[in-house]
Amino acid sequence: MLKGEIDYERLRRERREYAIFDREGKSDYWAYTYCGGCYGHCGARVRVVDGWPVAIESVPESDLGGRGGMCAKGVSTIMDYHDPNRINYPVRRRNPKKGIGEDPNWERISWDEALETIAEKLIAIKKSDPRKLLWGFTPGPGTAFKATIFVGGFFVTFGSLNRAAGGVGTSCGAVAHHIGALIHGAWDVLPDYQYCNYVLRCGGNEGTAGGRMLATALRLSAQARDRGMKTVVLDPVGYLAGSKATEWIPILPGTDIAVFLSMANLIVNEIGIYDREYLKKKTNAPYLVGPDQLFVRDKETGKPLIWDERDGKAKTYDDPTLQEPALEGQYHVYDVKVSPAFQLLKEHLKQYEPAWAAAISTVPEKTIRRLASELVREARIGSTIEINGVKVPYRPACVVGYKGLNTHTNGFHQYGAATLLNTLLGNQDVCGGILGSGTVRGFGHPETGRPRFQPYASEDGMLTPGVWFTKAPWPPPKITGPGLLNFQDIFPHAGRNPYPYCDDWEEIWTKVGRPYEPEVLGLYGANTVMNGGNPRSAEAFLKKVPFIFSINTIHNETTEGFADIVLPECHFLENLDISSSQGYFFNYPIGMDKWSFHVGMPVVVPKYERRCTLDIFFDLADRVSTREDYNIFLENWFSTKTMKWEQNQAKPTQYEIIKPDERISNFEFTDRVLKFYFGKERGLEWFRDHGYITWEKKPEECYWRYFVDARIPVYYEINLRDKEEVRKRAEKIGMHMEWEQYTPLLSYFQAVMYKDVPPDSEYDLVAVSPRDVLHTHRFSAENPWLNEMSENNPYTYNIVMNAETAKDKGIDEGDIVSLENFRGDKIVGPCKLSKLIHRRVVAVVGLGGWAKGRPIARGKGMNFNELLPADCRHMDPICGAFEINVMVKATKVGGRP
Amino acid sequence: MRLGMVIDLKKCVGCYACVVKCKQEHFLPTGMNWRRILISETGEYPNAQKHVYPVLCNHCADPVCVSVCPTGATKRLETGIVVVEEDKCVGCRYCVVACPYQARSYHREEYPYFPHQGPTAFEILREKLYPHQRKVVLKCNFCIERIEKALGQGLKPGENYEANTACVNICPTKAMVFGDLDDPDSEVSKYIREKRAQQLHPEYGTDPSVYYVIS
Repeated sequence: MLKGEIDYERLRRERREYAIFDREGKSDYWAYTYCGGCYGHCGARVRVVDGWPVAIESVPESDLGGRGGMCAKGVSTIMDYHDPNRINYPVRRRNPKKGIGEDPNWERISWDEALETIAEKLIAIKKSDPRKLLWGFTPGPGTAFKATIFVGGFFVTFGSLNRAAGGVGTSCGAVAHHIGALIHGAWDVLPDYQYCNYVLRCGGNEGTAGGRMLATALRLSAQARDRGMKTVVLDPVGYLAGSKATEWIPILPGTDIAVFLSMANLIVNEIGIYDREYLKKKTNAPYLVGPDQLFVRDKETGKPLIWDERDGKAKTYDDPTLQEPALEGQYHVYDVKVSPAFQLLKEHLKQYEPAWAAAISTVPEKTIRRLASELVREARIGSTIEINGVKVPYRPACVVGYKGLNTHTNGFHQYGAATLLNTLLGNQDVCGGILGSGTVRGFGHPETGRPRFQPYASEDGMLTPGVWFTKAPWPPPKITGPGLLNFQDIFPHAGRNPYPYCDDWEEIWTKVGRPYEPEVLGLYGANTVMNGGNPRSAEAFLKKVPFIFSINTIHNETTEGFADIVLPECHFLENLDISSSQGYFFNYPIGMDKWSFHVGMPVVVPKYERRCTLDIFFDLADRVSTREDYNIFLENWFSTKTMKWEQNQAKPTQYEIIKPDERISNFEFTDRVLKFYFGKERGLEWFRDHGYITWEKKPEECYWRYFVDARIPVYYEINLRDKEEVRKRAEKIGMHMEWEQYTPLLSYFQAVMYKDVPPDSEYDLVAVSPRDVLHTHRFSAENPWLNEMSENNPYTYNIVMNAETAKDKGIDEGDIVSLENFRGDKIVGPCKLSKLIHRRVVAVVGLGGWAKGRPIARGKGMNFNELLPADCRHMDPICGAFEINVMVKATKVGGRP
Repeated sequence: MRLGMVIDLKKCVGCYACVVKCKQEHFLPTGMNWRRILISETGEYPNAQKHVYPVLCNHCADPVCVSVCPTGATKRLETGIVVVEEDKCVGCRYCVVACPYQARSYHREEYPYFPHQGPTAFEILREKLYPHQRKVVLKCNFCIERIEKALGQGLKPGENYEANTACVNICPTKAMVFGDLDDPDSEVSKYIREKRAQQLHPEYGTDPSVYYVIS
């Protein structure tokens, strides 16, 4: 292609192909796709009149979603489609100045010019050092949530692992996903609502507000509630999940770790009832540990050893003659005194007394003791149940949590401790307990056996997810670097962290020796400056990047302030997107709900010059000559040969969907994937007419624990193995962190916000930012329907404070209040008084936009992230979780307007 | 036939789906909602409760709005649905004041959803698909067009998806059941009996057709 020539043929071909979605000129029809309102991806049907979508609901017969029902966010996505501020053509920035609030002065350019400009920049850095490309993603309104597979595949095959959280990643599941992988082979977890009787829910609101599987969780949790399932909510905020709970127990943020460790102590050392068989067979609790706290390993094979009480000797964990793994005791192996890891855990837990936990968390000691007994009683350890003729363990109680547990500097140990409680109950991926959600184990459609995936055991016999996105959680990657802009190469267990959008990035990078400078930032849907961490910290970095391109459906604070070229993506209602169906995320029916495979399909042909995600990336890959590697990535992923980043460009011997040299379009690719999965007659035309395909789930798929031979960690030996190497490399570049956390036994660590100020400080309130039922990230604030609802919801746009605390501070309902942290960062907004929030906590939903291109979102709510310090001190040293809470003082600055 | 609804507050989480869906189904203008969510808190910390009440027109069996309407625009149909005939309504708003449930709205003017940016295609299609007269009173009509079409096809409210109101269908927690209160064997009647659902403020004496299971 010569520069300047427009590939009309390519654009025309794409439009011709999408013509099958034109419904032969019908003026009023219903069409199938999925809902892109959140990660839940409920199957959807949409009414289209005169070529415009006018109504959406989920599919009544499908188990993916609300069975006809849908939350307000999903229903409102129709209005995102109609937003006159949608980007319709590629644009280029004319104003060279970058910064928060800058007017970009966009000029329209052609696709060819836009992509050639981007390609030129990318080709140049591919020659010198592909690491100069930084990239990130997060959905925007209508942006395909899971097209991150297409996005990530492009950038990874380009040669850059410099992925920085585009937006949501910093306040999301840095720890939850990592531990989810190690424990469940899954990105996320949910209670088995159909059979669970008791849920202890902490720091997460799925089922009432949390958006990862919202409508599915809403439906199932309501049914469970109706059936009599008891929910105890342990949370600083009580007006979300707490409002539908049997019991709400207020707790200081980030102190659940103390409660969980003391509960584990009670269960193991006092109550004495826990699932010993599960610990013996399915965890590394019996692995023998030497005096150096590392596993004692077989001299020949290097495998960890277990003491067989039946034979009185040590055997490798996978020895077929192993009969009775010991959980306690002291033995001698290779002339060294050893103990099973569980023995060490038991001793270790004794220090965590309920009275101590009560003092830290403000949860009364009696309550902690009661919760421990209730969990044990409700779990019915030892019982079984028959589901569709298959006998599986029955453990109808669980502990579940998300953001509020894991986005803290003690996130690894805190979330790990919650998981430990589940491990003690033996309820993981069995009936009634806590289930990994998504692509964990599936045998595929009964007629084809596809798509098929399952977890397996790898190094040390430990569970390894069959499907993963971002850095593999297991086997542990080698520690290299520093050499990445996000420093994730020196943190082997961090798949995401707030870098480089941190105040100390510049200083640290200089200590690294500045091997290169970031020259290009590629963003997909993201709003980094609002969501990345602290806006000022993000701004400082973004201003330095010479060239930024972004793919969006609508402009936002980041594109306006910093992007050089913005490409118009299709809204999900116009997008052909197979990634929405297949891959690592949450949007799969949970428990024994039927498999339901929906496809993201255009309900209307894309208008203007908007293009589908994969078409954009195929075009770009052609121009930068990475198309072959990109094709191989997609072949490996979608054929399910290797559904991971670490493909090492393994060239398959057989190509089942796309060959390396094929220049097929998104349309052709999607059609082939569907036919590969479901048979030659079930391509795009079939799915256009039928919407989805469904089949019964087998108990061995969702309750897979005892059908897969693999173990999970109770003892995180890898922490100790990695400690010195991580510490050495990090300290050398000035990253001083709490290295004591690299310990194999889950332990108490205080979350950093409490250390940032003295105990009697004037900054006496903990600011938190819970998810609101009306919003997904911040992009939904642009939706006028959701805005109207938010204006009528007392919690959404306001600072929520405990009524008694407010009275003590002279603050009345509706007063204008300033929240200020110890650095002087401030946000100001109206105050709502509540009786359903901890006395020492204030809550603010993260909103507060300022972009011209998002006029409805402008000035609505407050940008909570303004309050957050972003640096390595405020980051969990193991998984990179960003500390999402901060100590503030609240001052009245005005009366109710 | 007496069409009515039960709303199970144990299931409802106040997600606003019903409010937005009703807006979408009826192309309601900015600022007008035929359904609302009332939220309050009672009790004292930490033993407080949040109350979420999704409210709508109750389609009362003895409606005050009908008795005060000077033009006969508001009337109760044989199905039990209380409707406003926009052609007859003069916008005196006597009914708005009289309704003890504050279920009615006066449609003064229409503003685009995106101020200063003109109407969207959705708003333009409103004129074709579901136009509203200005300067009249509007309210929930139990999706009368949907229901009448379904009844004409022999479908049964509460049993068939197409014979339910849009809000009942969109609820993701399945907190609502719609149907014939005069039929003791209908799902809605059984639900009301078994869960001992109640009317809101029965002392107003209007005999609402919307019941609540109060947890």
